[in-house]
Amino acid sequence: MPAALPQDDFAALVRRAGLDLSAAEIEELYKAWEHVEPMLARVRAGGRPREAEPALIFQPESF
Amino acid sequence: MGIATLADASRQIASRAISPVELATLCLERIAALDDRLNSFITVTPERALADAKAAEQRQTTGALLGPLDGIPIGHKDIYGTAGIATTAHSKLLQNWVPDTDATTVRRLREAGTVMLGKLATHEFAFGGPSFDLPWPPARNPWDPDHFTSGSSSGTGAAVAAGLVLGGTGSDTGGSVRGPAALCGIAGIKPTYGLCSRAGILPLSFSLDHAGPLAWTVEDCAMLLQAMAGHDPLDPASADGEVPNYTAGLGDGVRGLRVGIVRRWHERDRAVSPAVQQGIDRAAEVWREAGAVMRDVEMPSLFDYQAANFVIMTSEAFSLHEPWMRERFHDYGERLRSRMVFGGLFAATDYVQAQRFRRELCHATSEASRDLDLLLTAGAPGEAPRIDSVPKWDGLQQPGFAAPMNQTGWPAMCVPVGFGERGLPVAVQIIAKPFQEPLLFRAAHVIEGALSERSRRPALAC
Repeated sequence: MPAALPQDDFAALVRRAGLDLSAAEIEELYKAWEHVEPMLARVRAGGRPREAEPALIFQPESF
Repeated sequence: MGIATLADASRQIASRAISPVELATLCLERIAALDDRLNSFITVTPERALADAKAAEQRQTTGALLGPLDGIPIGHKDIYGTAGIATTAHSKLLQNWVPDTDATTVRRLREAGTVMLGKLATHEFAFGGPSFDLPWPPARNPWDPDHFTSGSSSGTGAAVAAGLVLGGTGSDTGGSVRGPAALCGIAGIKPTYGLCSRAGILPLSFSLDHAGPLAWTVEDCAMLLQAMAGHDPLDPASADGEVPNYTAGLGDGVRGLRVGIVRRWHERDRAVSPAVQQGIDRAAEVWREAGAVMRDVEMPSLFDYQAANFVIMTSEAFSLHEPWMRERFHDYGERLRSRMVFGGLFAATDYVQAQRFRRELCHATSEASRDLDLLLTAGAPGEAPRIDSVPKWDGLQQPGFAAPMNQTGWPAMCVPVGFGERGLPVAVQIIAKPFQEPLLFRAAHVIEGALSERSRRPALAC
């Protein structure tokens, strides 16, 4: 399935990351973005309880 | 002398049937004869190896051997820092970097008396590969050098399978120990997160990186892990617990152990070859006949673990490499830079959501395994593909079987269970609960004894 994110918006993400890539490089990465979007959708899926913590926790006694 | 297992060599050194210098010399001769076809070494260190071996030989002759690893020739993945010896990460960016200190695990193996033969090939920074645009070529599979080793501990997998070293170190962030073990037909363990120090090993992804050994047999892995494991204050995630004896119960069998087969992963989420399916079935049958209680277990989808692993790994990796990614993008190999770039495109909330998702997955895994001791899965989908046919976006397009245990931090190891249609090895993955490595080794030892054909080496290596 083609990526939902428009290619111009994808290019903006690349620039925001501070990467100076050629148009051809962006084009190729954009084609792979279609495989990344489904993974992001799983990660971003709603429904987690507000109190659901990340796997990493802060332990003040460890410092 | 033929190619020994690490454990055999240890016994021969102890009985003075062979000297460490003879053993190191044999390995160096094999490297000289074979490695131009395998590319498993980045740096061979013959002077260091012979110095280590002579010191071990001195201890052998005076009855002062340091332990079972004294005089054993090994190699280190080239992301393990080695004092005074180049540590390149197989990358142009660190081509001339020479650390001042050993990684903690390197030091521990040195203090156990091992003989260091050199530094082993890796996928660039343990992430990109196979790559043909780096200062060194990619490692090749000894069972057929036209085929892939998997990665990223590619050189260790190739060198162990070819008998160039008797064991070596690897790291595993999404399967980088278990993949090469599976495709090269050897044993490899990703121990529990926190068991082996990461200090001095070039990081890829802080919360997913695991250090672990690869070797020809399960027993060999257990012996190496014995020296590598243990608390290290230099690693903030290091577990502060007692290290059990990993070889003492190796022959205790699996009677009464409860094993869950995760069919969903290889029957619905990622298809496997007939040989892998047969290997899973045979492994289950071997355990059942040995007294284990087998049942199916339902786990979250492989795609869920893959998603969390990818977002966390690339985000953490990009944060480490950000300055170079911005300023020296084209000094990276094309495969690494193309994969890592995605980590710079995610929002901070994506990373946090991935870590929240990870906690859910860990909880679900634990709940599903509540009344189980072990899990059985495929090690890899099939035999090694040709090295020139590995898709660039392989890790994005399809999930692997390794990432779930990088998410949970549970110990997992791959062991061979036979050969596929093309004559290359296939493997299963065995998983235990945190810090249950002794159980993992016991169970893997049973499979190995029944199915692994440890007397059969790659033709190139014979």
